[in-house]
Amino acid sequence: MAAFGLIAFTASAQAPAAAKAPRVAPEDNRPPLFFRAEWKRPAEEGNHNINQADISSQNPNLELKLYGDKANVQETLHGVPKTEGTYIWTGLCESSCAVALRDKANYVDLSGPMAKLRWKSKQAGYHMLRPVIRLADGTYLVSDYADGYTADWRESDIPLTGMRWRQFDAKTALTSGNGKWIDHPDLTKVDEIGFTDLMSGAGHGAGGSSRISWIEVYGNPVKRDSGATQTTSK
Amino acid sequence: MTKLQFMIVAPLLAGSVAFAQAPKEKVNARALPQNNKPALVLSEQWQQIPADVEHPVTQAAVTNPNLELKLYGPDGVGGTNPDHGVWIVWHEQPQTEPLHLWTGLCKSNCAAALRDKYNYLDLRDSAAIRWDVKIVGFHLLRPIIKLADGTWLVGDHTDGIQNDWHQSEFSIADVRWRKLDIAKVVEAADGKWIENPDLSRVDEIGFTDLMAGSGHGPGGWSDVGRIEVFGKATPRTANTPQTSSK
Repeated sequence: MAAFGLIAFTASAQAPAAAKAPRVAPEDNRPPLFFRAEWKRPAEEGNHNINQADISSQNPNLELKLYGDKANVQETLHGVPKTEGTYIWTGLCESSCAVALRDKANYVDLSGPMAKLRWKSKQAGYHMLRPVIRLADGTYLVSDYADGYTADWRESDIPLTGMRWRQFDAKTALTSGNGKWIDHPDLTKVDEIGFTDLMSGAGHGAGGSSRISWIEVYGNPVKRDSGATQTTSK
Repeated sequence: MTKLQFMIVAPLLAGSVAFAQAPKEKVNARALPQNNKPALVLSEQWQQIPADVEHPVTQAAVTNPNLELKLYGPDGVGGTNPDHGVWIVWHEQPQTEPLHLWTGLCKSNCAAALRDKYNYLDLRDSAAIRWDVKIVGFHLLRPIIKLADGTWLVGDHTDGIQNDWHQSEFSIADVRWRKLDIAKVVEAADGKWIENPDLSRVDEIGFTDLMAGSGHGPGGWSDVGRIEVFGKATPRTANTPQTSSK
């Protein structure tokens, strides 16, 4: 009886020390900002077909990748509202289109529980903006996460944990594959990160499109196999 | 009974009578919506002529002689070599799979609708749509309607991916609408919600997923089997059947 009492007393005495021990601390393990992509402010208002030169010079390692109706993805700037800034606009895509970004020197490890994307976007009509990734083995995936219509711009914080994926056809910018969910893809070496709404744009006006002001990716960099900067063939 | 006794007992008695009547009133009130369920005013479950596995859908697929099939979008009307447009499909297996329209071969956005030659549809009040569907990928099937004044609308109701065929029923009153550019089958340029459209005379009713299909295989598309619409029929102005110009 006394022994039980002693054990209980000892456990009780140790409890405060255990509580002070560090828990698994995701707050301290958040991955860094891998990249932030913005678009250069054009000299004039209006829109034009986006190209590599439109990527902000803050990150010279980023390659712009376009898929689907790649000829009609636009960079847009309006004088009003002044808070809007420069953005990518899919309204003129005659079929589905997608935009992705690739760091020439590094893959990104998005497998951790704190890996995430952030973007500032505004969707019109029934368009729903989804993340797209290209894995190191060349597999393209599109996510079940989607941001839909809002009356004004919004910033979204998008954890990758728990996302479900489907195969993505980079040629058509549509879903593809065997119709199955890709529940646990290997996200330790992600080659490209971007977005698509899987839809054609509704043209000029406010009918149906996606607008993306910037995108941020939070994950750990993973050096590409060769020390030299690599450029994809696609 | 003294005056004081009366003042105490009378309210109790009145309350008792009211309480006794309450259940009857409550039952009657609850019964009303059931009595107002609208009638089945449009139903189509398709037929396969010729009886092959699949081919571009035409008017021959419509079993109801009062209904016209309407196909929309740059690639709505289908064809072969190469395969494109809306098709009608019938597989021997699984046997539970209904005859259905399939958007997988639409190279760009497409839509299908049905039009009753004799009647507009009154889709106010408790009107509803019920359809048998199977959606694959991230496609989202939406109702579309054409009003008597020619306005096309596409609804915010969506049916998305499920592993198997399922029946979906939804009330029209719960649907929010946007204008639809029927030529391209995309949202119209005004970007506005159409909050209270006049649904008293709906000319055509159908569906779109606002996406191109991903082709053969289970990548991304919509299957639509039986379509049923519950509402009221409103005769068109002439007694003779009217065929639309489009």
